[in-house]
Amino acid sequence: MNNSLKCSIGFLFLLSAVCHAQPGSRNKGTRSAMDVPDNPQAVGDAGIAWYTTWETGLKEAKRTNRPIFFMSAATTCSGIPGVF
Amino acid sequence: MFANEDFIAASRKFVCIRIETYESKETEKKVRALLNGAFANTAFCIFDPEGEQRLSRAGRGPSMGLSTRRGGRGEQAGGDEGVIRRMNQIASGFKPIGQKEDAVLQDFNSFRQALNVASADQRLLVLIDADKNEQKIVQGKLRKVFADAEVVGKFHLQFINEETDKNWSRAIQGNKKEAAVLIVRAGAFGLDGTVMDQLPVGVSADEIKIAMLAANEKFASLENRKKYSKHVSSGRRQGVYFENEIPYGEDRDGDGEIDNKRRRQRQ
Repeated sequence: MNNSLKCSIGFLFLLSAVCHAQPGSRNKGTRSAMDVPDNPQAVGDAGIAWYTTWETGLKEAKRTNRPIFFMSAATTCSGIPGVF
Repeated sequence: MFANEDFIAASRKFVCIRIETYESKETEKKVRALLNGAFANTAFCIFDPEGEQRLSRAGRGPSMGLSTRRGGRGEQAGGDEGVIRRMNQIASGFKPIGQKEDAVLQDFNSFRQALNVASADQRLLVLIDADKNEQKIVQGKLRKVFADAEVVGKFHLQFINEETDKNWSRAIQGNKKEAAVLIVRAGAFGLDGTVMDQLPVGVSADEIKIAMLAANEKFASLENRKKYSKHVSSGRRQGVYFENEIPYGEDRDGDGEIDNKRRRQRQ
């Protein structure tokens, strides 16, 4: 096994160990970043309208008498930002 | 699931809150409270409008929290349809009140988190750079804009706090001093951004909406959906790292320590 292949396998293992299951995952254990499905929605389309602090969302829920759909999620994988 | 049209439609009957798990001790505390003391990178629950009573089980995500059978997830729970059905059931128990145009506006705890989230969601970020008096003027217009059906769910919004967001403008290319409303495209890793359009404080709500939608259309033509694995491997190669207050990892046994801490320290 050459060194680059060893490095690749090592990297895959590291990602698998550090990046964890996403919402809706059926797997109980950890999940490789390589398995995370890409977002099928077209860029620019409307998605969920998120409040991004508990305080602002709670204030809006009280104001409108709507229940709260709450998620906590990480915008990083292995400390690398820009992904959910 | 989050891209499912029926799911998005059902979400409009709720106030949706998504916080960053690793952002602060407060977010960690919230996650641990939901997961019986354990800590994971995702957590989910539906609450009543007072934010006190749980209306679903708590879990890692909606398919765990809203399953129709205890322990059932994914297909066992009826898949996305089962989750959406349960969401609609819960929402039907509440009669919404108030006007959309009076809605509380979105905000983040910091500019750096706003840019990161905008990058991760691949949505444009509307940045408000204005003093307190100007902010009040802009807020009234933004309430109208963000309540508009053509705008809902397409953008993120952040009010710059000059005290806590010092040096924010260094991360953004193309911003003019006189602009109060900046429409920003976040970079691939959410560490920088580019201004797509910018408007002064005196513009009308309609002008803001037109500029936002035009920028979004352009953004959609320029931006491709990220490939998760490629993004992460590219970030590793470039040595990109985003520090949060809470160390990354999970504490599945709930002993208060991140489970992989020892291994991380060896690396």
